[in-house]
Amino acid sequence: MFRWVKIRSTAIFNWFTRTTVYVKIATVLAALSFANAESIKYFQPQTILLQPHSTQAYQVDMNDAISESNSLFKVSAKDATPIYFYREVFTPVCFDNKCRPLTINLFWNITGRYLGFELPEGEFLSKTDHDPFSVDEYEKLNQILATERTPLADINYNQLTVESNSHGLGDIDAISAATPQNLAPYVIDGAAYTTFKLWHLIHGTTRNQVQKLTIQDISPELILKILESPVQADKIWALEHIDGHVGFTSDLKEKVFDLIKGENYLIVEKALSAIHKTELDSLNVQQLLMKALIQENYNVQIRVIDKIGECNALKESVKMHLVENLGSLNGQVFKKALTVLAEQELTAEMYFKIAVFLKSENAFISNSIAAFLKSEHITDPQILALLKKNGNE
Amino acid sequence: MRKLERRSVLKALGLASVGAMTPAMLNAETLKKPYKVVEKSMETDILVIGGGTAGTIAAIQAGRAGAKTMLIESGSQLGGTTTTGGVTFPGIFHAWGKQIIGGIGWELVTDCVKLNGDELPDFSIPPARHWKHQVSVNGFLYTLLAEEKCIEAGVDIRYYETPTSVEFKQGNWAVQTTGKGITTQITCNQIIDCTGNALIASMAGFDVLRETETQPGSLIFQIGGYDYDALDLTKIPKEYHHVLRQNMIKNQTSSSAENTFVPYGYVYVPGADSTTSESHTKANNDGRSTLLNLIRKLRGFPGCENLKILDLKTETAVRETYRIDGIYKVTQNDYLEGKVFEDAISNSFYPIDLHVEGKGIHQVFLEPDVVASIPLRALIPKKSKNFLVAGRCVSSDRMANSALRVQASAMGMAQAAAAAAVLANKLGVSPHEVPIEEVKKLIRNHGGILPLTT
Repeated sequence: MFRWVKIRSTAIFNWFTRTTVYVKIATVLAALSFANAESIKYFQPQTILLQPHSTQAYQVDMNDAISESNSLFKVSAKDATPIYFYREVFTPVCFDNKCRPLTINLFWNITGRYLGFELPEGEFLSKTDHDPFSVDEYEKLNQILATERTPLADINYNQLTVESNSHGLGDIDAISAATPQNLAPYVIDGAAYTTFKLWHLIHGTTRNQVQKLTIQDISPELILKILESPVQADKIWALEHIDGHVGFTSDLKEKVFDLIKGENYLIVEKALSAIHKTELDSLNVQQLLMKALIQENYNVQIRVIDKIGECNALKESVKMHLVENLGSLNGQVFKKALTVLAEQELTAEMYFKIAVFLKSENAFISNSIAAFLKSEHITDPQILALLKKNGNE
Repeated sequence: MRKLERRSVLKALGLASVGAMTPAMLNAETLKKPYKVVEKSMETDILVIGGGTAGTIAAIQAGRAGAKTMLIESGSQLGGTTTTGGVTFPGIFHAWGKQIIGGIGWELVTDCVKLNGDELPDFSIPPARHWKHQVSVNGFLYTLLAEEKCIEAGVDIRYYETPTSVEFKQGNWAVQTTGKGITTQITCNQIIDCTGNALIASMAGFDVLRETETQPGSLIFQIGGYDYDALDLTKIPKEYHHVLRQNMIKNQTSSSAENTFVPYGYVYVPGADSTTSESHTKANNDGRSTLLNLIRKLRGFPGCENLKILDLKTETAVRETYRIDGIYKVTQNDYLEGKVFEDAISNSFYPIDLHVEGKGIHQVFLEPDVVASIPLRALIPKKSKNFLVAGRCVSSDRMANSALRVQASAMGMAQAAAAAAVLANKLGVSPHEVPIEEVKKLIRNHGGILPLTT
């Protein structure tokens, strides 16, 4: 779970004076100070911490009718690096045959992640009894909106009023429909409809539009900036947008291999996936993968050896390096290394080095080596003699 | 003409066959001497007893680490709860966007997913409901892969055997087992009790604990032949809605290859206990008769006339029986606070999850970023020598146990128990005497993920 960060009255955002002229793309200089330091706003960590310089308004078809326009604003730095996106929301929240207006500005990080909300001056959120939200409730709302996987995603508006346990599902841990009872942690008490609506606005079509617009600006430099984010979801987003989107520059390569060293194996996986198959033909990339295989822990190794297995042809020096380091590998990594070698053309010297492990007292090792050598149809008499000695003819 | 020729040939061939076979067939029947139970004597470094969720992993780890390893299993296949019991969605290996349990258990799960052409869920985002990060596996494949990995690791698997006595003599264990037409005297240096019921610990004379009332077991099945959404639920008593809904046909076809959870049905089996043949038979009998009555009842409801049973697991899966009285007992507070012990050898992530027949499930969820840990001492019975356990009989209070009992946690502790046993055997000491850093190193070298601060 992400750490929730509340930012109030700090100079992270410059809330730009709203434009009333809607054009396809309008660039306007941003105001450099807060319009109102006391306005109610809550935010999550932001990936790009550059100073806002300009704002562009995009007319995009959101298909969610949340305001008078379909404008999505992109705030950028002086060097055109996108910093964040926002929308001005004016929409009704209806229940019990009554509708109340909801006026709020919603923010997205450039990776599409929820960034925060701000209420225009004088606006506040209220509950069914017209009580305004407390500070705790705003904080909870900020947390709820930042939660990507929630039961709110799987229900429709009407299900907010479903009677508790109407399907008799209360005692089922595996498949349980949403009920007001188990929805409680995911909504603000007395403002379930507002919460529901905001969550769906945040995680709806706008999110995809934000990502599309960021992809238009994508570059190795921007990817590198996003990879510095403290938020894992941003890192993963960046790693997923290398292959097929940007060139694998030396800086990017260095950063990707840096991430392969970590103990966060989800990041390691994504970093390895970011290396395009064509890069695997390079001696340097093969050497870097081998380095990771030898130096990192088992859970990195098991992922790296799979990547090495994707190489069409390992360079001779890399094959020899792998053969010479077989003894340092354990368990499934060892088995997979043999599978990789089985796909390569090996020299007699390499086979001899591998055959040495037939003498291992560890039955797992010696049996695996014997199975490997047998499958290679070795004809060398010395190796055959070793196999025979091992009980494998 | 041609037909006649063919017939003649066939006739001739038939006669020739009879002529050729007759003498052999006449001699085929022989009188056998009465079978005499074979008595064998065997030696091993590590003896893993119980080839279930934990035992399979422990045996593979011990074998891969170079120890001579034997695995005895009273049934006919490996995997236990994951296969025979039908809980084919082990978890939980990830918490708060990170992998927290890895090693051999995870290897088996991912190999299953890959070989079945499935995809893993996206573990980077915490799910709305914890079970969405349990990974559905093909139970048949799991059985096959588990056995293959044991054999590759040099593990001597002995199915259909169960211990009848265990005795510690001169630094080794003497374990007498009985199986189909065979009794075996096994001498081993270290025992890992993976029966789930602490049966061997109890037989060895170590204290075990049990609640007056235990959680019900589950007999898992699948039914089909109806469409839940088309049913007139007003004509079906409410208590049956959940059974039908659990088996919704539309949910049984996944919209993507992502393997998270397969809908399943289960009937509770109060007091289910797999400790002995008698108690396990009763658990199976009770579960099956409850299910049969349920099927009969359901078929009487409108829309369910063609209801069919599509799958039924071999055994009632058991949640709670005995726990050892270990050197350390993990408490609910330890668990919920995510206490990291100095000798923590694996993580655990699951809500406190106590099933109470007729009252639902008492659940307490871990707070964000909290992951529980398991100390090696909780796997070692007090006053024991050369003895470890792994699985749900881990030393813990009842509430902690209701979380620790799940498959991924059992796999993590099994790998750790095996690492400790291998080193204890090598050093000629008891597991609690092995330097803990050595145990951790061996676990790490084989893919186990240690709690972060250790």
